[in-house]
Amino acid sequence: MSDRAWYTDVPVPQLMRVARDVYREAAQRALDSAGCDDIPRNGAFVLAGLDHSAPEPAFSAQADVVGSLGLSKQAASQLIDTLVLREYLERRTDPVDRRRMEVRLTDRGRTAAIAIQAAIDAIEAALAQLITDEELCGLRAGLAAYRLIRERSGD
Amino acid sequence: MPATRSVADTYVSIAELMRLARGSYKRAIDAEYAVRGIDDVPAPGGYVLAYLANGEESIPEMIEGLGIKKPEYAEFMDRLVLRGFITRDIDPNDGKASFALTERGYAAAEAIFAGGRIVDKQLERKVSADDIDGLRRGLLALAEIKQSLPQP
Repeated sequence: MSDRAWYTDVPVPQLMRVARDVYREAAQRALDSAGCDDIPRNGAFVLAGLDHSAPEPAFSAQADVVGSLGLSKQAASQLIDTLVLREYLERRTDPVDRRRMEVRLTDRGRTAAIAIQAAIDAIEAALAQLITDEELCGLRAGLAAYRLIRERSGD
Repeated sequence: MPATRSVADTYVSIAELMRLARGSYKRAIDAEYAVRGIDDVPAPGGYVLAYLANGEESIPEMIEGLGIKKPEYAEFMDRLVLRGFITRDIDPNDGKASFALTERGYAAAEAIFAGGRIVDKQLERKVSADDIDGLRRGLLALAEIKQSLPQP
């Protein structure tokens, strides 16, 4: 009889598909509870990545926020516009370089970002209970490798 | 200490890594579809065609694997039938539908498996066998966590 674990025969895309919504669903529940039920797709990643400090979160260069998303420039800019319109982000001209724009969390954005972070932390704590540190490193290394494979296959 | 940080070090959250990893298989599979002159497999059609080619999953298992509701599943199967990837047969005794791949469906399934193999090989060149095992265990654990959460 083989010593191979059963999951080694399950195609990874199938595993990715069943696992992929766990964060989105947990974040959605947390956001709904916090009264933030109109966050656009990928908006949670923008909010979670910005400075959360209170009462005055730091501004970040909009170009950096857009660049980190891995979306087209147009899609990322539209996403930022929507988050500004829905009062999750405040946008201003960079006082040092007036050609550039900066964004930071509003109070509503901060509430949402804290809810998202709490949901992510809860999932990652549960994950740490289920797999070893070595397996966690493998998960991260594997996902990071997929990103490189995806980028090299051309956007 | 390494001179440059890897993507895994830079993006601290698994959620972010999963988002950035999305689409890696899709691109390879789309290229294989193109080689076979196929350009109209509706998303997430690849999963259904692969399920049917493997012949191992029941319809409820397919629906669960796809993460969609039954009415969406029925509409989705309609599209695959209309586009000539599968046939639908109704059992006259119990009225239940069953599905089978057409020749075109088999060609699309071949493209899916070929694209998957290409990406799997690229992954094997980039990370160790232990990392791939950790990747699988981690994804499986995330799926378990998802199932344990109340449905939205």
